[in-house]
Amino acid sequence: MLYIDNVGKSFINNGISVNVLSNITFRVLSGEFFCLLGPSGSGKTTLLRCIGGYEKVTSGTIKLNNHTVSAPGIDRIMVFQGFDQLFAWKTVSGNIEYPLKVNGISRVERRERTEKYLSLVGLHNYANYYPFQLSGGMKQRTAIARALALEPPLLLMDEPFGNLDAITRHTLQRELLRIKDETNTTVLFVTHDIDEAITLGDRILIFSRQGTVKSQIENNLNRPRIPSMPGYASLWANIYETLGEG
Amino acid sequence: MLNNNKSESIYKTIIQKGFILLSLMFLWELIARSGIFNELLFPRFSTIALSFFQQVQNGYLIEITLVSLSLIFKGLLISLIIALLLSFLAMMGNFFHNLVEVLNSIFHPLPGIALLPVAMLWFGLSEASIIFIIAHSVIWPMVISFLTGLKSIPRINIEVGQNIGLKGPALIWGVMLPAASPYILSGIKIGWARAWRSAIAAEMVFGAVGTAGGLGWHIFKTRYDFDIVGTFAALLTIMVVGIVVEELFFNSIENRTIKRWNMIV
Repeated sequence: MLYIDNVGKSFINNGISVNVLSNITFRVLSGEFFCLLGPSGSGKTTLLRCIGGYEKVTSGTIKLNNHTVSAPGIDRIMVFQGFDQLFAWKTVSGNIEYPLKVNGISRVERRERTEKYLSLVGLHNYANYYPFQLSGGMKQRTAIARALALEPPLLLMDEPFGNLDAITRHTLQRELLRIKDETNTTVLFVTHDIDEAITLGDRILIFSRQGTVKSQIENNLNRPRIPSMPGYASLWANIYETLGEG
Repeated sequence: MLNNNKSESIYKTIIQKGFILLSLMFLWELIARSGIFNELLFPRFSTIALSFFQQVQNGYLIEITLVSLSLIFKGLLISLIIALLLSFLAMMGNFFHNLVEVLNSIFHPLPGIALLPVAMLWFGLSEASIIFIIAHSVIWPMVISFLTGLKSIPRINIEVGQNIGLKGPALIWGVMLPAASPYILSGIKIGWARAWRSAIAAEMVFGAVGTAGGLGWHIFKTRYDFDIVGTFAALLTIMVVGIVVEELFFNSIENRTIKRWNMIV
């Protein structure tokens, strides 16, 4: 479904070219939950932004369903880390419905989808709230519902739970897995948290601090994955070793 | 609970502001009656108010106010369009940004009234001259406000807009304008105040346009006729219109938009 082929990315900084990503190759299969794991500054967010079409790759190609990615599009909806990704001037349901309206979906279907995805993220009682009235967790739920309502083939998530407290983060991780099962969407998820990658990912791609791929790990643990289950600790240790000093 | 407190404090504000206004009127009346100043030059507030109500009732003040307001409205509308275009132009790249900045630094300090002779040469003794003066005094401060607003839009809002398929005018209308709405509203408010002032000033210098003169012309004429009460009644009209527009019009727009969205800056 998603082909990342020998992708490199460099920025010019004060006349000096700095490599952020080099020789990145992997593929994400349809219906998969794929995690990009690495330390801060390893270029995983840059890669996600390239896949999102916000930045151009310096070398290599990114193909989604055989189309080369060159600009943002509704076949890849991004969920960001920042709480300000919602439109402050629209209510929760307005935020979910507006992208559907923009894309010419009929009023009846807009209503149906908004209802459906509001319930899916558990916010049906907050439909008429404005973003400033919501907690951080509720804002991220709304952003997820907005992304899902467009029913994109691929969901790009850039540390969406990074600003949340640990308890809310765990709740939202569990809910994201449930939602993913119900919608059968494909997810590409960026994180720097080993536990988050293990809890969520079917496969985990590990980045080095230099922006190269260190290793790709299959995660066959049964769900729900909790730290006390057999295999969890050894997988954690394995990833930790691979990450090393970065 | 929260709502209740809010409406209670609005109620309090109205009472307090009303009390201040009444006190000022009373003070005026006292000073006028004290005989310190010649009553021909410093008429009693009650006399002014009476003249104001009489002239409102017979329609004259309303008529000339509408003449001024229609000039201001046309000037504001033209300014709004030009200021928006200039602001978006400035966002299109460094060259255009510099261009708009240079235009602004040339024209912003230039008082509108100083341009009146030029306007009269270009547009003659017509409404267009006054509208030109109004637009000149409104556009530049408006551009500054709009441009600040456009620059303050969080990049994430734009990126979400692009992600859901918005481009060009649709992105501007759907995301950029609402995201910059606090600055756009304040730009329009500043523009309104500027337009009001320059319209009155231009009318005073310019005189009547065709058969109808506005408030500025009326102030000039009443002074010429030594109708000081009439002059003050016209000044009172300007204040009343100002308060009505500020407190009712702009406040209700703000309550429905940026205050409701908590987008106050």
